[in-house]
Order: sequence, then C-alpha cells, then structure tokens
Amino acid sequence: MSVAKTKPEADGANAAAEWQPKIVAFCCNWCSYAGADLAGTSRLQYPPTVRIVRVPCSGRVNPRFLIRALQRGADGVLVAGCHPGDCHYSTGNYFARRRFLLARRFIEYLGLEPDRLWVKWISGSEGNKFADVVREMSAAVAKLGPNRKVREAR
Amino acid sequence: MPRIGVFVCWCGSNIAATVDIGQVTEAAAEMPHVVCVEDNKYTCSEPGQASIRQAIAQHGLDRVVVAACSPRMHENTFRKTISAAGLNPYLLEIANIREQCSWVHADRVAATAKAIDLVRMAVAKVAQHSALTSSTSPVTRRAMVIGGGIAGIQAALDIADAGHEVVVVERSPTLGGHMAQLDKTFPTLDCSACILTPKMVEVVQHPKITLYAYSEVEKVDGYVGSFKVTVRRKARSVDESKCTGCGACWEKCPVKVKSEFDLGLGTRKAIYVPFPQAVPAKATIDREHCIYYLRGRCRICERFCEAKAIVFDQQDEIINVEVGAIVVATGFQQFDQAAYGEYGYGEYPDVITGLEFERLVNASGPTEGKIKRPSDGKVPETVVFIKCVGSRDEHKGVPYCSRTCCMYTAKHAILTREKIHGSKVFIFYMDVRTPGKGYEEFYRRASEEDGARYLRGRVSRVYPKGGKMVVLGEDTLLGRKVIVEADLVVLASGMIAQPDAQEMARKLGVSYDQHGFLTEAHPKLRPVETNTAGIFLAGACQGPKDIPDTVAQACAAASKAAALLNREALEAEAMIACVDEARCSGCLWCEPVCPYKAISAKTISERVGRRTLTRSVAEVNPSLCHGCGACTVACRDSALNLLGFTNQQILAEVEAVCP
Amino acid sequence: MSAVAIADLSRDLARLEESVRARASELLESQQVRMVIGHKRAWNGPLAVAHFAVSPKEARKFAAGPHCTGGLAKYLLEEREKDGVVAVIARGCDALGVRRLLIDRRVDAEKVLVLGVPCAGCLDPAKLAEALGVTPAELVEVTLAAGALRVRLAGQEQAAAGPPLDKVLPPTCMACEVRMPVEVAEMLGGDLAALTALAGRPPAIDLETAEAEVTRLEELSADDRYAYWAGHFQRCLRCFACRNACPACNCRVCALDSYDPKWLGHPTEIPEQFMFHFIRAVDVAGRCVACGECERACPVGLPLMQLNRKFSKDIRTLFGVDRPHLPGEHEPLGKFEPDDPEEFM
Repeated sequence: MSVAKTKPEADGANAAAEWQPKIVAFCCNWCSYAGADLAGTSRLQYPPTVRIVRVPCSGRVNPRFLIRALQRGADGVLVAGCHPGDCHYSTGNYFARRRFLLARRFIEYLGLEPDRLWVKWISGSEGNKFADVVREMSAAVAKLGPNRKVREAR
Repeated sequence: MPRIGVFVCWCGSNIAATVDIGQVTEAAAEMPHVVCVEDNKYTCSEPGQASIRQAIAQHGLDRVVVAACSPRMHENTFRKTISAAGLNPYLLEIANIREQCSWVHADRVAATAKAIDLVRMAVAKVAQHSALTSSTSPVTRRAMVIGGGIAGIQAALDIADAGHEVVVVERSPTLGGHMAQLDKTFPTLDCSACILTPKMVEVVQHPKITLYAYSEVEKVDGYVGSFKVTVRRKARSVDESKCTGCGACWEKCPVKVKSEFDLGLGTRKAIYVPFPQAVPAKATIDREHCIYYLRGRCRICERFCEAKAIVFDQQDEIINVEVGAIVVATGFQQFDQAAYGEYGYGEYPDVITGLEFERLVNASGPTEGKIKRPSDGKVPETVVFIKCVGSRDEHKGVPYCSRTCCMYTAKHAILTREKIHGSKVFIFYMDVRTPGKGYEEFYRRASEEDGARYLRGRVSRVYPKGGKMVVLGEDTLLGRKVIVEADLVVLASGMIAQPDAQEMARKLGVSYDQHGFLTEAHPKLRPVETNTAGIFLAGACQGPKDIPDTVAQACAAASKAAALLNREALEAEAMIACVDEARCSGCLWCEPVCPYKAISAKTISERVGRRTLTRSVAEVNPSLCHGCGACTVACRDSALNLLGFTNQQILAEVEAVCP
Repeated sequence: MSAVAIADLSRDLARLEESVRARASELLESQQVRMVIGHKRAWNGPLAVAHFAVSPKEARKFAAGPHCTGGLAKYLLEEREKDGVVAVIARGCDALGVRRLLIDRRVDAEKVLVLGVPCAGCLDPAKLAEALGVTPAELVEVTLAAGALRVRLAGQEQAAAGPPLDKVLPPTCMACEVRMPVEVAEMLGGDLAALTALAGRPPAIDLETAEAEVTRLEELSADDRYAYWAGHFQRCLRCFACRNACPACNCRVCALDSYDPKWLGHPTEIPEQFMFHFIRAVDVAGRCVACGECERACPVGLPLMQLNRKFSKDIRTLFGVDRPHLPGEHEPLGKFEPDDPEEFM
C-alpha cells in the first residue's frame, strides 16, 4: 500500500516502470509551505512523490537532514524557502543559500548525484511554481533512479 | 510513553473523495504510541472538536494528531480544542492531507499512500513534542509615528486620542508632507490647506503628542512592546524654545535659495520656514546656503532676532525614545521624469509635473495662484495633460498604477478651465480609473461640464516651436494622429517609494517589495501590520494612495497600535530557540546569524569537582526570538534547539518518510 | 635548498631549540606562566611528542626541528579550566590553531601566551620511508645535522644520510603560508638567518597545486568519485582521531558523540560513514586552519584534507573568501552577501 513498497528492490520490469521517487521537501512555513497550500487550493495536480516537512524558515534546515533523508531512503531532497529579500525572518534564506550552495557541491564531490538536492525559492503566491518544481524534480530524480549510494540497507 | 490520538478528517468529500479514509485510520492504528484513531466528516466543526475533547478524556491522550487541512488554516483552532480538554496546546500536530494531498492528486491509491506517510510523519513528530509555555513582557505605553504627512498626523492624533503618548518624528522642518503642497483636493475641491493645517496645529497642541520635527530615526532596537528608538534631532541653528516664528530673520536674510516646498518654482531664504503655515513655526538655517556657514560672516538674522533664538554652533542632538509600537508613515516621492526624454521635462521649462502644477495653481504658491507658465510668466491658453507618466509602464517606469493621477488630472483640468476663461484643455490618457466615492462623477464633470478634451492615446514627443510646445500624440479611438500646440504641458507623474525606503525598512526590520514599498503582513487580512510585530504601516509608504485611503489606513494603523498599547503585557512566542547550557561551548557562532539580536553571551557558574568554575554560554532573549531557527544550524554541538521544530522532531519526521 | 643552507639550517635549529628551552625556563622560573607546551624527543620512534613543562628543569627537554610534527593548540582545551597562563611553542599552524580556539571562545586570551617559532616544515614519515624504501615502522631516529637529513633505521647502529627535507614534507607543509607564524605574543629564533630566510619564502607549491587532487577528483565521474570515497570511508575506524586532533573541532559535546539528537548511528556501514565525514567536514568548513592535523592523526591514512580543501576551494570561488583561516578574513558561514551566487536555485 505504501509507495515505498513499490520501489524496485525487487527487480521486475513492471515494478521499475511503476517506481516513483520519494522526495523529502523542507518548506518554510511563510512562503513555500504557503505556496504548496496554494497549489492545493488551486487544485494543481503534481506527482505524489513529495513529503513536506514544515520548518519555520529555510535557515532552519540543517544540511545534516539532507544526508539523513538520503540514508533513510529518500531519493531526493528539496529545500524551499522565500525568495532572497523576502524571508519572513529577513535573512534566514541567505544563510540557507550559503549552506546549501556548499552542501550541493560537497555531496557531488562525495560521488552522490547533485540533482538529488534541489533548493528553490517559492513564494506564498507561487502555487504554480511549487507544482512545477515538484513535477520537474520528480522527473529529474526519476531519471537518476533510486538512491542507493548512501541508503541504508534495511 | 506517549499516548497519541489520531483524528482523520473527511472534510466532506474534499479529502474522502481522493483518500481512502478507512485505510488511513487502519494504518494509523498500527503506528507507534497511537492509542486511538477516529475519523470525522468535519473535524473542525463543533461535533468534530467535541469528539477530540471526549477522546482525550476517555483514552487519556497526551498528544493529538489531526489529519485534515493545512495547519495554516486550523492549527490554532485545534490548539484551542485540546487546550479546552486540558492538554498543552502545543502537543498537537497537523497532517496536511487536503491542500498537500487530496487536492493535488487524482490517483486514489497514491494519494492514500501519501496521506498515510503524512500521518506517520505527524505521529513521529508529535511523539517528540513537549509542552510549551510562552513568557510575557511588559508594554511601554507610548507610540512612535515616523513621518508627519497626513498619514502620520492622522495616526498620531488617533493614538493620542485613545489615551496614549505619541512621539512624532518628521525629517523636514515642518509637518504637512505632500498634502501641504496640494491646492484643492478631489473630488470635493476643498482646499488642502484648509483641511490639513488645523490638524497640524492639533498635533502640536495635543497634550499627549511630542513632535520632533527636523529629526530622523537613526536606529531601532528592541521588539514589540519595548522598542528603543534612537532619534537624531538635526541642528536647526535655532533654539526652538525661543523662536516665535515672527519672520524677522527670513525677511532680512540676504540669501535666496530655490524653495523645495515650491519644487524650485519659487524661492526661500537661507533661514526659513518651508511655508507660512508650517508647524512648528520655527525657523531653520540651511547651512549649505547660509553665508555665515560658508564664509564666516553675515549673522544678520542673529542681529534682528529679538528672541535671541539663533544658535550658530548648535549641534545635532541624539535622543533615545522607548515606545511600545511604531507607525511608519514615511510617504512617497514623485516619479523621476528623466526616463521620458521625449517629453522634455527638465529641458523645457513649460513641461511640468502635476505636483508643480499644484504649486502654480495654489494661492500661496510662487504665482499666488495665477496659472502662469514658468518660461515667460504668460497665462497659458492651451494646456495639455499627459497621464500615466511613469505608471503602468514596465519599460521606462513602474508596472503599477499610481492610483491618484486620473483624479488629480481631472481636478487640474477643472481648475484650469475655472481659472483661465476660454482656455483649452487636452488630456492624453490610457484609461480613466475612478474607483472611489464621487470619483466617476468628478471625472464626468471635468469631461462633460468643464469641457476637458480626453484623448485616448499616448504622446510620442513634445518639442518647442515658436513659443509653443508641440505635443505629438495619437487618438487611438479615432485612429489618427493628434498634434496640439500647447502653452503648458503637465505630466501626471506616478508615485514611487522614498529613495531611502529600503534603508528605513532595514532599520525597522520590516520587508519591502521590489519597488521599495513596505510590505504589509497580509494583502487582505492584515493590511496595516508588518511582519514585525508592533510595527504598522500608514499611507503611501505601503503603496500609492490618495488622501481618503491614506487617512483610512492611518486610522486603521492607529487602532492597531492603540489596541497593542492597551494591553498590560505581551505574550512572547512559545516556539523559540532554547540553549542547552550543559552542551553549549559558548562559541557564539549563533550570534551573527540571529536577525533579531536575540542571542548574547552570559556567564554561568558550575561545580566541577570541588571547584566552582565560570564559563560563557549563549542566552536567548525570549521576547526577541521569533523562532526562525537559523541559530540551530549554526550551532555545531546542537546546544541550540528550536522548540516545536527541534532537531529530534525534524529527524523523526524525516525518518518516518521511509519506514 | 642547497647543502650549505641545510648546514646553516641545522645549526639554526639547534640554536632555536636552545632559545626555546631558555625562554621556557625563564617564564616558568619567574612564574609568569604555569605551563609551557612544546615538543620533546620521543623515547621510541623518530617523531617528537608533546611535552608539558611545568618546571625549568622540564623545560630543558624541549626540542625543535622537522621531527616535531604533532599540533599543540588543541591541548589548551585540557588546561582551560585551570588558573594561570599557559605558553605554547607555536609554529604557524599551531598559532592559527590557537587563534581558532580564541575566536571560538574556547580558551581565554588572557590565559594563553603564544611563543612563535619559525618553521622549516615537518617531515612526513610515510614519505621519508618511501624515499628510503622502508616502512615507517623501521624509522628510528631522524635528525637534521651536519648538512643533511640523517636517518637511523631499525637494527642500524649508525644514522645514514637521507633525502633532503623538502622532499619529504607533507602537502600541508608544502602549501604552508605561515612558516613565519602570525598573531603571536613573541617570536623566538627571529635572529636565526638561515631558518628565518627559509620560513620567509613563499610556499613551495601554489594554491592550484595544493588543490590539484581536489580538481582531479572533481573531474572523475560521480560513480568513480563515490567509489573513491566509499573505499576510503570503508577503512575508517571511527576512532575520531581526526576530530580529536583538529583545533576547529572543539565543541563541548561533539555532534558525533551526541545521543539526543542522534546524528550519527552506530553502524559503520557506508551510509553512516558518509554521515560521519559529512558532519566533520561541514562543521570545519570555513573554520579549518589548514594545519593537516586530521590527516596526520588518522591511523588509516584517510585523505581528509581533500574534504577540507574542497570546502576552502568552493568558499573561495563562491563567496570570494580567499583564506578564511588567516587573520583579516571573515568567517564565511557566519555571514552572507545579498548577491551571493544562485546557481541551481
């Protein structure tokens, strides 16, 4: 019943065709979470791949969460915050930007696929953008296939 | 062990049509620590809430998960519900299975699976919740109003009338703002000064209001209920307590300077009041132009001042004001016409702006109310008005509508026709927008009764020819070129943000939009609040506005400020950062990332063996912390945690995504 | 480095050793300091060990020279709760390590006296052994005397001439920009012409060369890079020596040890090893003083500096902060610029 079980741990071609990535999205409460809500109220359809973790601010997202999500089986991680200059707390997204600019390059350096980490600025009025980002990211991560590199065997 | 209750909402068919509620409740029942699962048609309804309260009592629940709509919708509702049942309101988590699930997915199987994941995440997180309480802080019952235009005046008077002290800070030497420069006001044509100046006087006479004119806000510290504002009182070179405003000084002053108030169309002296009805009626020396400051001699004003009020060596004075609330009413400025080279503003004196026209038509203006064109003082026979100069023009100007130009141009047309008999008035427009009480009627009066010719189309060029200004335009309704030989061309300039609006926003810690206008907390529901608690917006600093709207917004901001000041104490956020002192290394890497300066070092003593040692740790001021959590990431040793969004809670959620 | 210079250098190092001992004795004798931290010759093996002198007599044991390898700054943490001033005989990297602890408010500036010494570089025993065709365990004694690096191997009575010192330096020493230490209270051996001339030279390799390995790894395919790191991390013993040696890893409670929140799980499979090295490298990013202690301390020879250098390279290219570990630069992760690059955002 759960999406996780349809992952192609078992090899069959059918399972692989059905496989959809699982994406953990850290969305700031004020912009991106509101944008995701707006996508809902606007009834915009997007793939059921994303699981949102609500955080007050993108500045709250510790890069360690990224590794933990990949460890536990996520195929991609999205960090979404207010546009630069619009942070509800003025500066949180600027710190997040520095942290994740480095983090993305670093996971790439460790041999992971950089496209497993997306950082996007999505405002509370950008329901469309939220849906688009989920669509695009789902497609990009699907192309990479399941994350196996730092995933725990469980 | 936690005892968690899960309440799954159908939201009528909003959720139930896409998500299999039965499967969700079944799965929830198997999740760790879940002792009770219920579903309800409408959990937010009174019966729905009652069932939560009942279940808390019946099953001894100590934590609740509601799987329903967005927490942004009903988190507060359900916090109150569980609070009524005796639980701490923060022992609640919402799984958003409507906006972020049933409404965005069509596939029932996938949506149900996702809803189960979302519930599992919420259950995992709520198991880590702890009861939170918020601290309270006292309120300084005094407000500051920044800006002394009509918005600031109205807000100050209203707050003062509500019984609170008000400090008004105005950077120019007088109250009044742009409204003082206007002649008549639409749509009633009553004189601007007649309705404004009594209010200006009321401000200085009000026992609860302190006015700091010719002063600027330098720094804002503190937080809602307890702001500490540093104000620079600029040196006027005149002792305000002695100056009587008699005028002897400026009569005798030998230096003539272009008057800012008259937009350079008239002159003032180096010692001056901006206009005769200025409040406070205190002289100010313009040190950039005063001969004494430039060359070290003159001092004529001092000789003629009977009150002995001239103080040449006066220094700026820094004062600190403590206030509980701040109303920002810093206004706007006129769009800079330089972008429209084809209209020749600045090149040809007979191309002027709407605000300059106000000075020409004003009885106390440089021409004493006679409309004379600036080049030769001739009374114009043909006047062309061009609307939307700067506004609604993404290429050269700003994309928004400045909201006042349609109406003030109609007013200018009426005034021209009234004052200059037989004059011809042409108005080039893109649209005529009249959304206000009496506005459409006023426009009709201009076009129908007063005979202003409205031409729909843009002007491509304005150039001089034989003492006239030739206006090349187009009438798009008739589809033909229009050439008007005008004596005077008036550009309806748009409104833009003050050049230092962003700097002010940063000082205050409020946000601003791409155009520099300060941003309200919600465009519809919180139109005068900012995202910074205790700071409110009034007037054109928030966006282009006419006088009625400005006054209405000022009243609204004042009522918000007064309501805040009426409170004995303020409750701080409960979800704030906290420091585990046993872990804290005291490195204070958290300090620079805190936007609210809520973190500082404190020294603690602790027993180590038989010795008492002191060391430094970080401390969070609960009144300043807004709970953004940026510090928790800067904290390498996880000594800082954000209540409600702890590392443990977020890790639990992340781990629950992929069971 | 000519043979003559080496002759002068070894004489200078002997003199430096003398002045370190003399100054340490003096400070301890007069009770200006409670302890002096430096190096002394080890009873087993060629490399010096840390020495904590609390009396003038113990100060006679201080040593100086290329065999004095281990970092000294971190020992200050052990002394932070005691009264009195502690002096550190500091090479450039030690001085930057002390500075790191001071910026992180982990030691009290009033309780530290940094005695700078010029540094000729510290030998890399693995490189030396390789040059001699032996294993590091066979190295018994290394000296810089009578005009050359002299090495005595296990089972030998006499030391024999070895390779020149600059051929057996670790990359961190070759790229070192602080062989003349900065931010010190006083300099010892500033009058030693050959040593100061050597220490005053620009680094033996430039930044690009120092980062050549990072660049090489960046150019591999993702899978090859993964294989490279997974291969190394697989050998990691989780002994935490890298952390213990690092002056930037100075937290009261290390995230790697924390049970609640539990950032790092017990299993030593690849996913947790990635988490371990991710946390370590991210936490020292922008704070690393490039001393190379992590790598030196690692018993299985993980190329940990390639992680740290990756960050310093990215911080330079992304944020324009050239050498975050040197004085005058700002900590790049405690600040931001509104126009920082956006890249994939």
